Amino acid sequence: MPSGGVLVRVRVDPLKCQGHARCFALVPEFFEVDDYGLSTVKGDGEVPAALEDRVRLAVENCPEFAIEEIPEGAGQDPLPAAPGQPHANLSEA
Amino acid sequence: MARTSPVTDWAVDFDVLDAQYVADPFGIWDELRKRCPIAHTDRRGSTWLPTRYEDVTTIAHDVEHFSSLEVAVIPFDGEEPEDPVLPYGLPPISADPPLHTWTRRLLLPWFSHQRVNGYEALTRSLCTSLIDGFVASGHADAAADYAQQIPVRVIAHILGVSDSHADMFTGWVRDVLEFADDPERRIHGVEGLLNYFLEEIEVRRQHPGDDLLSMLLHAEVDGAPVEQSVALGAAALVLIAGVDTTWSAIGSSLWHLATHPDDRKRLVAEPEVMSFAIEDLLRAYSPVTMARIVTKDIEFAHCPMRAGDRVLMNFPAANRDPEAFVDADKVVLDRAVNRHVAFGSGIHRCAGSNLARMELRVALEEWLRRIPDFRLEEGREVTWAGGQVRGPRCLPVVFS
Repeated sequence: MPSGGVLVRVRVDPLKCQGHARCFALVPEFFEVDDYGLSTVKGDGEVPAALEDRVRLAVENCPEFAIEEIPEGAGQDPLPAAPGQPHANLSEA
Repeated sequence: MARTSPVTDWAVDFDVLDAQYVADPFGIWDELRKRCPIAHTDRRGSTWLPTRYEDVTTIAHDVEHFSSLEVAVIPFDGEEPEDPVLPYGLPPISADPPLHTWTRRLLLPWFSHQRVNGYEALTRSLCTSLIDGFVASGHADAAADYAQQIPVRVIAHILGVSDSHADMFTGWVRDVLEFADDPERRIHGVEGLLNYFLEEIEVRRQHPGDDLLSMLLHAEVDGAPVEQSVALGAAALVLIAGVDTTWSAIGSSLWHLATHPDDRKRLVAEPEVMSFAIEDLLRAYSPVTMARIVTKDIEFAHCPMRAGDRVLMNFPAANRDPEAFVDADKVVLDRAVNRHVAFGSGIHRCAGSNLARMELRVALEEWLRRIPDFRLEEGREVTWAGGQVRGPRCLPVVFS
């Protein structure tokens, strides 16, 4: 499990989510998926203590790195994207 | 012909239809990842083969440089018709945005979690009746008698076509995907599928049902009806993509359990592990490789890719990359962290992934419930298909 301490709040980046639905399969109490596969968190994304381990597992299983932890007191803004994301390798010839 | 000659250097002259690659590609990928890591060949046109998770997922997300207009791993080696029946291919899989976007939105609701839950009882009773057919005999071909029979019937149900044609559908799909190197067979499969669907379309224009094919024919997008060639291509895609792929995943998983008794026993004893187990079986034996076409000359990871080159989206190798997975070559039934890309990555994520997962889970649950103790039949050969879709085609097992 990566560091980061207590998982307070998360959001799903709608531009990154491609509908793999891994989060919904792992924590159906916390994530919702619409007819087109887009995942969202229930409520404002505050993670109930009882679900914290499984929500963290959902974060770590998203193939699109689309679930972002929101640090405490950061409002609704997401963290910057994780390193190693697309285009790191690309240069146009 | 060069295409049938043995491969001596996998880095510069690979061949995905080589018998060694089809039977056991894992060691080849390991070697390429260390040496290359993106291999190249000029067999069947200039083609690249990435092997690392990061490279494969990066290419999958870059739809500007890597187009989906051709996704066949083996290019068609016959004469292209002047006036093709499917000018858009099989949207959305063979489309880029914007055609991709709206055709995909037509299909996705049919494969949502909720819809797929509704197909589970049918899938389970199908599995049960197949097992009834061979369980008393003590042996079965787990690929041909079981795995192959399941997804095609569920897909037929969703499309609203008769599952009494299941063997015919399977034959056409195999012609298109598994025997793609044989232009005559490929044409036979495509024509069979299209002529069948054209007849079904005529029926549904008069008498629409509540099935996917009827929906495609009567859908409106931005106030206009969907062109028939788009509806036909999308319907053919659902059948082609929904048959060989999941059947291969079920077959590979049963092969794994037949050859790894500890994993088999654990899955029988701890059914709660199943939801994690299917993810690692999908990772370790990912069936599907797709292609992309390079749209303009680029240098990607030190490889000079030229416009028109083919890039094979090697999701199966990405899922075995030790940089992305601990113990990448080992199936870990309860693997906790598993960002595998068996269903692809980016905007072309398999639209049927919820369905495939349900079918794989139910097929394994029912098999293990009735046949908890099984192994490969001695003296009989397991055969594999490869190229676009990898999985066992003959899987003789015995049980008590």
